[in-house]
Amino acid sequence: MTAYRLASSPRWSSTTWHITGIALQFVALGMLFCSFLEVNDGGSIVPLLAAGLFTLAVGTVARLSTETGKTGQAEIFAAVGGTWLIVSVFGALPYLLAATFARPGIGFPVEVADALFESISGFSCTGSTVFGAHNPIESQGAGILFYRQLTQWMGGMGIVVLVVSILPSLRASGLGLMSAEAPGTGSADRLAPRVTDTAQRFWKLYFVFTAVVAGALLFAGMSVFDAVAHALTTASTGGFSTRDASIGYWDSANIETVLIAGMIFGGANFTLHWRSFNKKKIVHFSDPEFRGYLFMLTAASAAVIWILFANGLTFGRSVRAAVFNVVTLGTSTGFGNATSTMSDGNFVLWAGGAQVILLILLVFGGCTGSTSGGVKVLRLQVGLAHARRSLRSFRHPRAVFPVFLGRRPIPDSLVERIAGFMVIYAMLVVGGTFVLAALGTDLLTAASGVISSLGNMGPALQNAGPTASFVDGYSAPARLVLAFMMLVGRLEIFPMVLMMVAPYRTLRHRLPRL
Amino acid sequence: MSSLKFAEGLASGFSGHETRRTWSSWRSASALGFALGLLAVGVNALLAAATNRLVATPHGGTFFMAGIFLLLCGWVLLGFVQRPERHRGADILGGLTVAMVTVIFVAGYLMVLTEAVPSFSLGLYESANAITTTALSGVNVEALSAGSQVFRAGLQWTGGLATLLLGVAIVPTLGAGRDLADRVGQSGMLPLAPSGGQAARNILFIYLPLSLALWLAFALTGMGVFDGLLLALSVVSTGGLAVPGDPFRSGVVQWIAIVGMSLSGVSLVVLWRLAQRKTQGLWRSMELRFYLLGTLGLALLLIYSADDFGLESVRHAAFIASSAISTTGFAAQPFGPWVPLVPVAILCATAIGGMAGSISGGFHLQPLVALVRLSRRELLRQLHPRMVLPLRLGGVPVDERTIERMVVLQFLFIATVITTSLAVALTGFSVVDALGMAVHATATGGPVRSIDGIPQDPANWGVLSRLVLIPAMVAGRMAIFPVLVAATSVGAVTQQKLHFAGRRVRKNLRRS
Repeated sequence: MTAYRLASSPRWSSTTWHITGIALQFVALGMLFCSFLEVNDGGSIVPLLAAGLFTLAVGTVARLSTETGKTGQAEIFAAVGGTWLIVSVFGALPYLLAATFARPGIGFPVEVADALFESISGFSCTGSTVFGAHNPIESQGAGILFYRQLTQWMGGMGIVVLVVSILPSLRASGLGLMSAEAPGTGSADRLAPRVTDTAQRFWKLYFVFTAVVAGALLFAGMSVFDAVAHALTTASTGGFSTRDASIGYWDSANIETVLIAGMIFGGANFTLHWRSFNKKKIVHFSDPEFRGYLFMLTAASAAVIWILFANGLTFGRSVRAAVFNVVTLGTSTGFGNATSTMSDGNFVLWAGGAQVILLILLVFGGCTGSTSGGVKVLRLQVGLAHARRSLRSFRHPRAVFPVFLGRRPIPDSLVERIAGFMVIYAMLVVGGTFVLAALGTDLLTAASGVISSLGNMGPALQNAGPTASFVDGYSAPARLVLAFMMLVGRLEIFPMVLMMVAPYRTLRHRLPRL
Repeated sequence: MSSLKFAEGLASGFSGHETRRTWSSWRSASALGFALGLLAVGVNALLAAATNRLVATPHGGTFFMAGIFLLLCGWVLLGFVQRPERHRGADILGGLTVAMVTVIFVAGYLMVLTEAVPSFSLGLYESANAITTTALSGVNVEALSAGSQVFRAGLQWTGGLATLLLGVAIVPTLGAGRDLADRVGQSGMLPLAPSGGQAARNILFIYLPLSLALWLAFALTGMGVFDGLLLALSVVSTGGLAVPGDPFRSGVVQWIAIVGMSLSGVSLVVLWRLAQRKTQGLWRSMELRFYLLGTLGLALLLIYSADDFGLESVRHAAFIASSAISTTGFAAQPFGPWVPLVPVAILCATAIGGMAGSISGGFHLQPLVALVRLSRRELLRQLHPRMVLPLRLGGVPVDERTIERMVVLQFLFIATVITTSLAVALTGFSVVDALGMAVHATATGGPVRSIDGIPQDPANWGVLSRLVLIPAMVAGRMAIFPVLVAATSVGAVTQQKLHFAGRRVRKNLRRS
């Protein structure tokens, strides 16, 4: 009845709240589904159910009381940034209500910070966690565990893309919203003439991919629950696991092989997957970015294998440890295959050279239009071509050199945008490291933590490696800074940084009237 | 000039031709760079020989013979080169790189001959340290002869001068000094003078008196004329190589060094205006304000971290801060417990360095200021994609090509640091140490500090680790671009030669 009244009454014009409302409804459905899993596992239904119902109520009110308003650039950034922020806050409710992170010796603010960190790490597909020896993952119920995985799956393809897929009223501005959220160069590829159809196709492809990975993991030896849970975080290149030792728990080469294939697929451009699927022919290798991506993973794997082998591991163990960890970090997934703190997969113990290579991979990330984070291979390729052009212009000051990617010339406006993005990215890394160091973190843990969070990778180096918890490496304020960095990285900087412009403009226009 | 003509005559006598063809621009520039490198080492070797003669230490003869030989070779080569009417900009940068590499190799070999270092690889490292003004030397200065000490200090001074001269070419390219440039006639492109030659003379006019003033000041503190000279050369060139004894025990010496280092990190345009007494509007330079505030901020952080607000603490803090920001790199011990932010701040300060157009190394503040403005413009562009937003430095719009070069410089600087870190880490260092070494080598600053702030002794590093730092030192000292321009020029010329050679071979094969 209330919903009917809301629907029939005049609506408040706000794109941000309208989209946020729908997004919250989706998240609430996930919470409600997980509450039944929790009951099935013998846990309490209350936290997830209460969180789900509350989120659903807020989402419904927000959706029905608003309609899409202006969709200028500022409004789009406000909508995308605001949606992600609000969804992340509501996403932390189940952890808070279930007292997941409550432990002796910490106050409620730290518990809230931890819940927010885990929620943001989930939705942004980062995979960093505050679970650890003090609070093991495996002591949680199935509902909470599956909810964690589900947050990554939703964030992987994009919450706003999910909203756009059911909101035909957005029309052309839907593409702007998708572009603002999609990892890439700021322009989402169209798979169909209608934006809604494009969004739906992306989600269909994503769903099928997840199902295929789940089937393969089941076949490789995981239980149904673990297979589905890990498929969700493989397709989204998120990296959350249902086990404390992550993939190291199974110590299975078959499972790792399936995951490697899944992560490489998830880190590639989904438009290429769709085209290949449509044309029934593999078109990936015609794309220079994909070739660069594969080359990067292959070269890094080969180098790390060589280093590990030279440091005394057998060739087989070197290959297994190197390839898995290079792919998991190169695609920004963040799974770990260390069976214990002293095992081969714990890359914090590797030689310095191998760790530098991993640090470079933390920055690079996967392809544009994929679920992975990082700077993206395309930007690096354009950056290199840009540097080459600049050096050539020194030798031939009056010549005009276009920037090429493969055989395709790149417009100067895009080159400038990419250059600007990389400058801001570098500044965020330096600034973030500075802030974390000021909060008491040592240099390597701070720098690698910021790079990992901005690139949505998951583990960092030194005190926040694959077998460590972020509670061990960072103070609570530092974890909040990292959580903000995760959102900034997931939305590729601009929506998070510029999300306050539209509300500020509105306030500036309304305040004099008050 | 007449001696040069004589050398030309001598050279034509050697070659047996009265009239020779003009050389191509790149060949001429490379040969001139090589000759300049020989001359630079030759002059320093003669100074070292004179010092050894004065204080009667060994190897004076070796320095003397080598100096005469190198000067003669350089002089003859200068005359031999048939210069084209005009050298291309890229070839001049290539020539300067050749000069730098020549100095490293020849001076390195001379160090081995004079037994300053035990092997040629270490000689290369030490000479690179000196000429690039990087303070990562692993030599025990107390064990060196007086001549060798002067040779090293002279190389540092030459490196500082070369940096300033290179600045004449590079600074306008990166748009630096615009906010203070004399805009009459040259639209602010050449900050020091209307022509390159005049600018070079003006540079000498500043660099020489500054060096002499520091020498005099140090000598007056009672540390001795010889030690004062070594320290002055080290400070003015931002070289930071150690001098015998521990001169910084004296507060006065430390204060003089602080002033000297701070001036060395200031742009030459500012120093020139100070020398001309045109101080009006100096504060308009945002770069200068950033530089002074950065030094002050770092010093305050050090004082706060040490929790000691005494005068001695202030002096130590100012010394470490100015040494880091000017990339001089004297190895001062920490004077209290350091919070984790301090090593990060010092590393950042060293990586950024002083003002563009100064003797200091690093990325420089001017490109950083420009990049901050570029980021702001990029954020505005996101909101208004079709808006035309020119970037301004010192009120003057900067052309897009300059901005492009600044962005590329940032990209190349980071790439150099990462590549060097990887190379160093592969020789067995941890990530933190490798990163510290790479940043300090690229910024030509020192010393590399451990997490608790204790300076590391490069003598404990392996030979291979030291050798992989040399390319970063050279690239960093030369603002990266010239080295890469030289490398691409060599690549292009080699490709062209190979292409012609291949065509010739194919032609011959077809004939046969």
